[in-house]
Amino acid sequence: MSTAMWLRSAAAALPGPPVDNAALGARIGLPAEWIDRFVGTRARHFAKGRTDLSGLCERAARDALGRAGLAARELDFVVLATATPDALMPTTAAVVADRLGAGDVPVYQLQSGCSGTVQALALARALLADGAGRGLVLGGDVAAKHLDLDQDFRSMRPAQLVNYVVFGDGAGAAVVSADRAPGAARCAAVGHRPVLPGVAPGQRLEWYGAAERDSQLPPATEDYAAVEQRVPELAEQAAKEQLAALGWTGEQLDHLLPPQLGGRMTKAITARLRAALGAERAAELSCVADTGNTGNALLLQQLALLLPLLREGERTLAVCVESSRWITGTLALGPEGRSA
Amino acid sequence: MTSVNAPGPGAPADLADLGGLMTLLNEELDLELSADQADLPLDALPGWDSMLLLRVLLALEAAAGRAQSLADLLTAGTLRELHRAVRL
Repeated sequence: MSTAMWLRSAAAALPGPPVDNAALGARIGLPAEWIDRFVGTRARHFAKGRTDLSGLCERAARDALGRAGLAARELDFVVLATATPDALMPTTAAVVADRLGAGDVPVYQLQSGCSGTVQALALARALLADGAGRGLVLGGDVAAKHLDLDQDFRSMRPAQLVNYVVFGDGAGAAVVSADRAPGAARCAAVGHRPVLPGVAPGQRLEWYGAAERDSQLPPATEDYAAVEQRVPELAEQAAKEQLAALGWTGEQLDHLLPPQLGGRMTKAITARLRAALGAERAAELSCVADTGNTGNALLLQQLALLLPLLREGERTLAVCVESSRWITGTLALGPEGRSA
Repeated sequence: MTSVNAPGPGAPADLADLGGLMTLLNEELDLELSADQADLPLDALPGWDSMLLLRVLLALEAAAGRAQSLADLLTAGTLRELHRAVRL
């Protein structure tokens, strides 16, 4: 694909004040000490309304547009990635575009998990190659409707229980363009693909209609043992393949954006990636320990941390792994050309 | 190694006794612990992980009627040591 994609800005929006482990533990009757030690996430944010993704996306979008110095009417498309839209129809993407005043441009919504923002960026790149000039990429999740805090957690299956201590709500936004703008970061590569065909999903999120209102299916389940085993392996594999495809080396990386699962796992994966890639020099940009796992918002939150630090010519590699269907995603920012 | 009474089905959970601890965990957490596992490393028990430890802690707190120390439970390497770490 010959058309370049430039990342002009990124921003994040989180609902309400942070909920620390003491507050979460007291609310759901779990020991904060256990969350500290085994999840390693210090805080998360929870949306008050159960259909507030559109509001969070709008906030992040307005912030990102302001940072890029663009008005919503200058956008040529809007793409939103989420696992938890406010409603099945209208799409949250269309609602947000309308609120922003960008309601007359093509709008896309991807149903996705932790690789969703990479998928949205890949779609954005294709749209830019097809002639669009500027676009808005959104990602976010509000898991509140899947987390019932009023139940006996002692009898809950671990595969369900883990969701209550891992996830948080949030959204992010990025403005991309085909033309370079001052301070913009060049997208060197963006890609995603399922990598474990035939392997059972690591995460499942249900949705219910009126005919299933009495469903006994748990709303959210996670095979956390499979996640803990496979995500580090898949992240390393995806990172190595992306670097090889670009002709970059790990030593050249200035910034590393690792998968964001929980504070403890992300710390372990970062150490593994550094060693496996030889990326000891790269600065890590992570957010999950302070925001919880916000699904489709995570990479945009990381990019919002990265862009103010990024300097001309620097190389960045972002890696994410969606455990629902075992999809890896990578985003590389940096100059053209293979390494020496 | 001291002997352990095999936890019987339906027996009351008396945490003063190691067998009572096993009864509690078998009934509350749907485990199948047996007396001959009392001195095995916890990691060698089927399904033993951090999530199960959390459920063990919650079950112990409910049965003992008082808070348990995660730090103390984490020092235990076997079920027998776990029993010693329980705050009655």
